Amino acid sequence: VIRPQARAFWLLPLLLAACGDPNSGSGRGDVVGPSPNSVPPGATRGPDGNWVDADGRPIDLPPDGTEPGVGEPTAPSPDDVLDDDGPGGTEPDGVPSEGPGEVIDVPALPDDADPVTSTDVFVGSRLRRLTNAEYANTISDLFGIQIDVALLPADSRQTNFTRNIDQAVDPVFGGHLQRVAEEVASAVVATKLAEIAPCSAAGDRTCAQTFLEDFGSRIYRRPLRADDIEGLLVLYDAGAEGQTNAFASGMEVLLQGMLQSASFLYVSEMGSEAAESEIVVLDAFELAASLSYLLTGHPPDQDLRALALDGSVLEPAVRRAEAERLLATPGAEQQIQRFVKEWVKLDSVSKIDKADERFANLRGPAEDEANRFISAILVNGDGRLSTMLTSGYTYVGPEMANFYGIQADQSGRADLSGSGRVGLLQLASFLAANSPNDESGPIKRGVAVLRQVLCYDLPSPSESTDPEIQAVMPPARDDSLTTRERFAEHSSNSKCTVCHDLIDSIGFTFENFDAIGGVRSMDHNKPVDTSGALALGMEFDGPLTDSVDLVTKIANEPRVAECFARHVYRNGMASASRDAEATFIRGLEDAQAITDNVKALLIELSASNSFVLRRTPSSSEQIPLP
Amino acid sequence: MQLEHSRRSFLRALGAGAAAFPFFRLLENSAVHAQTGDTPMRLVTVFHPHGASSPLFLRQSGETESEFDISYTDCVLRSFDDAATYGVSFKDKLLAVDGIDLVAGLQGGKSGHDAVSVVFTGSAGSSTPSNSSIEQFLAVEQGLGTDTRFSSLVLGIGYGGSQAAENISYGAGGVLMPKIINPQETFKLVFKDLAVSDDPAAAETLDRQRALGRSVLDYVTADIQRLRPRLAAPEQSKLDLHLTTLRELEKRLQAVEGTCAAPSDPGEYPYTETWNQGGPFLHEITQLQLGFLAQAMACDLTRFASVYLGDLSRGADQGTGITDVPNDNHEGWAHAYRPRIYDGTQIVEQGDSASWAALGKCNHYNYSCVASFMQQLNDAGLLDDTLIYMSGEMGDPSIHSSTNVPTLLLGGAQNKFAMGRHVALKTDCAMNQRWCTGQEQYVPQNHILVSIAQAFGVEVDSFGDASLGDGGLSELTQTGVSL
Repeated sequence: VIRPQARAFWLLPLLLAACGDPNSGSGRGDVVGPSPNSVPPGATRGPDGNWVDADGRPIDLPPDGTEPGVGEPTAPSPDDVLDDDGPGGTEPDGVPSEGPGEVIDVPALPDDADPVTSTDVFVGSRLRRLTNAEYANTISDLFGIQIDVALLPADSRQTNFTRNIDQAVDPVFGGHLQRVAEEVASAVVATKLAEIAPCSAAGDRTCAQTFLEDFGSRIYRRPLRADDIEGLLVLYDAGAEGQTNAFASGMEVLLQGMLQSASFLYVSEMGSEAAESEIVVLDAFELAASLSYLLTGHPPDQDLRALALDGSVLEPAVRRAEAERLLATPGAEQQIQRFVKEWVKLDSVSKIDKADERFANLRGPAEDEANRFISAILVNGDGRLSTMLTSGYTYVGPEMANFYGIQADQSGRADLSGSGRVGLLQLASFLAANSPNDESGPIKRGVAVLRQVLCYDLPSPSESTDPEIQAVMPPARDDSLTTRERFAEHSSNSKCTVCHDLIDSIGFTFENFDAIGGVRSMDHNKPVDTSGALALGMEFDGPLTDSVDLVTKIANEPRVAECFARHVYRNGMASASRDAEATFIRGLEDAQAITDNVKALLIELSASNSFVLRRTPSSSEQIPLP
Repeated sequence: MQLEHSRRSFLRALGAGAAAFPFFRLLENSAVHAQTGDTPMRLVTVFHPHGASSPLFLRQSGETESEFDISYTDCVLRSFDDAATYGVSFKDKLLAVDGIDLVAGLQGGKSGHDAVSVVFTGSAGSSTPSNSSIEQFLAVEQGLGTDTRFSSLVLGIGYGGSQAAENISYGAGGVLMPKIINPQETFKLVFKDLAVSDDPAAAETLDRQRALGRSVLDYVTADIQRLRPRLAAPEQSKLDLHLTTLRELEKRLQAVEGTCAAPSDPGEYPYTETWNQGGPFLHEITQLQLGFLAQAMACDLTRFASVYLGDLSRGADQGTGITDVPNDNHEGWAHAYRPRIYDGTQIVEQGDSASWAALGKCNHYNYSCVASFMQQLNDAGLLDDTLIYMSGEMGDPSIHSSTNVPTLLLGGAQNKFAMGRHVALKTDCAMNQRWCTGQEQYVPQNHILVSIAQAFGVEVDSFGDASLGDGGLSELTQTGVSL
């Protein structure tokens, strides 16, 4: 009998509420309701807070109705929390508590850590699979061997980011890992054995054990356990048996095992095995590895390994100092570039298809511009998102300079004044990535600004349970109308306009840029109209003349900084749990540490309890081994 | 160029009727079939995107479930009744069902394109469905794929996206199973290591490598099992997929029994993604992927598979032979689609025949590829033991509807289904409405998934979202049933 996990919650089909309530900051994570068994589609809350059907008639919930807050009081269960990830996703949810938090004692948390309160939510114990880039960096750091990640199946993504908890080892990926592990092991024993196992001249089993105790701890990012060593020596023995070059043969098989093991492939975030409390602290080795991959995409270097070994990495002040040091490394520059590119989809320019044939020759230059631009401001400049949004300059090669119609100096730096562009959101990579194949795409651009820059949670029409909203119908092509005119005309259904007015009036401000991000003054033989508005119920609401006006108005808004901090968290923690995110943001607010400086945010994250603490599962949250 | 040449000869071989399957002869399977009649059943789920041209798919006025025509000009299903092209008519191995709805998606916030993950799981879930897709459920969870080298193959064409809205196959707990879209990778995975050397020294080396490989997998398995008890369910499901992966890798280390000639390496394609100029090769890649699958099944290397067929974007030439369609598939065909609408007795809206003709060409192309695949299975003596469940994420693509999705059961399926019919279930919407009100009597595809599990001897009450009702769909197995 199949009993798949039923959805014990109900995503309210309230587009109106969702779009009309910009201060619902924590978004879907807080929406809790009855089960679909008890409330039919179309149901909403009546004025008295009880459930009513589409005609306003009260709904009698069956005795087993599971509406939270109705019936006997129970402790909140994980199912009561709806995250982006949610039940059925692969991320354990935290359990939020009501009321003011009381300080709770977490053993093993150092004295200088912030106090933990009962309202704090932490992500669950977990294993995060290395991204393809992290995997390649790790192989490179350990053995000096470069592998081509393009040969691996693409990373799976969650909230745009490749660092995420959904990455798994499926049969296709597993087959590739096996092949790479065999190739790397073969290359290592052929050329690197003396380097990683100085005792290899002896060439015996004792040396294999010494290797495991020494270099093995770099491969697993922790000292090996007795059972690790025992199991790996079994592999050594199997490989060595009957071979003329017994040591190399044994080491090759041993390395194959290490490179395919969970201890290597996943970054462990489990906490101490001995801890019996509900909230555990990551151990020093887990913490060092997490910190290093977060900031550099590489495994811990020698200095960080020393801080793991003496346990000092557990101290927030030590992590702050380490974070500052690691943020000056080349790995950190790549991490920051990757974060920004994934955040607003700039990285998709290498893959998307455009009807405009010029785009084939702009993909590389546009991504190159994005990398240089991000580095110039976030890595080598003041580090601030507001500067990226309104820089007034960019860094281009000849192709982009020509495409933009601007002049670059020797370093590639080019003034943007008079070009219609001012910063990140007018880069060709942003405009092209957030547009359809052959038109300007006010919807995609508007949604990108709302969701990624303003954290204004818009439900996707396909997430609605209202059939009329599900039945999305974009306006038909009509060569007599501009893109703007077509989208303005289609907004006749009030269920759509409630969100689309917000989206379109932001998206229209980019109408002077075509599908590949080129400037245009005409659309379908009519002058483009870039006027728009911010109408979000926020202090910075007001009319807009164009997208430069848009970014100038919002660049220094606290909401934009907070939104940026949320995305730093989502990427940094590889998490879609909105409740755990809210705990981190609350900590920033309490410390008055909200900023749009990416390095400062990464340092705050590194030092935070959110980074260090994990919730352990109760037995009811577990499934038996199949 | 060598690669071009070999690829073309392979395609020629694939395209030429009954003699088109020259590269294998697996005699054991047909012998077993003749002697005992106890051949295991195969399941292939096939997804095709962007809805169906309903005027060219739905049962026509005056037709009955057993008396219907699919051979008329422009009928999207005509390849299934085209003996001249495919050797035999497959009309008696076709069960078309009108009026199936992806209710789990409608009620769970996964409609439109997002309903892709719902089609073969019957579950909306959250980021991914809450349970496995039917072919993974049978092959892996129920162990019906244990005896073959691959428990299942998960293939796709032209679209390698790695999110739920882009994938149809899911393992236990709803963990996403990415698809292989590169035919050379399919070739290498399935056929490359099959060759058995006559050289005793080489055979000994291979035996040793396999033994060592098994030792490595044992070690890796133990490492995962040590970690698993300390995690919560979603993380455990992720590790369970990893354990499944290790078992799959272990099976690939076993010696292959029987005789099976492998196809040739198709060579490397410069692009395999449709939206990255994979277009020029779309037809070739489709033929290769389905051809490799047919051959893998004929060699009994797998009995379960899923295929995510391509979207014919950008003008649809791309070797498909489709011409005279708008260049932009999204707004040119999908959203421009205006079907002819009946109110039950008469046509109340003529729609735009050019729009449904364009979508129909796209549908027909995908159906013709499956007809060709069926021909290959038929030539291998496997079609009677195979069930193909073909469906998509939308009915009317212009409004992204999750209702009235195109639904076909194909193959002999060991007579577990009453084939040779075109069943019209009660329609969901008043037909003069373009979308439904939410009060309709939906027929969730979950019942089809239950019927399929039952046909494979697995007794289940429900599949996917259990709130959508118990039991199979009696219309699939009995004639003359009406709701």
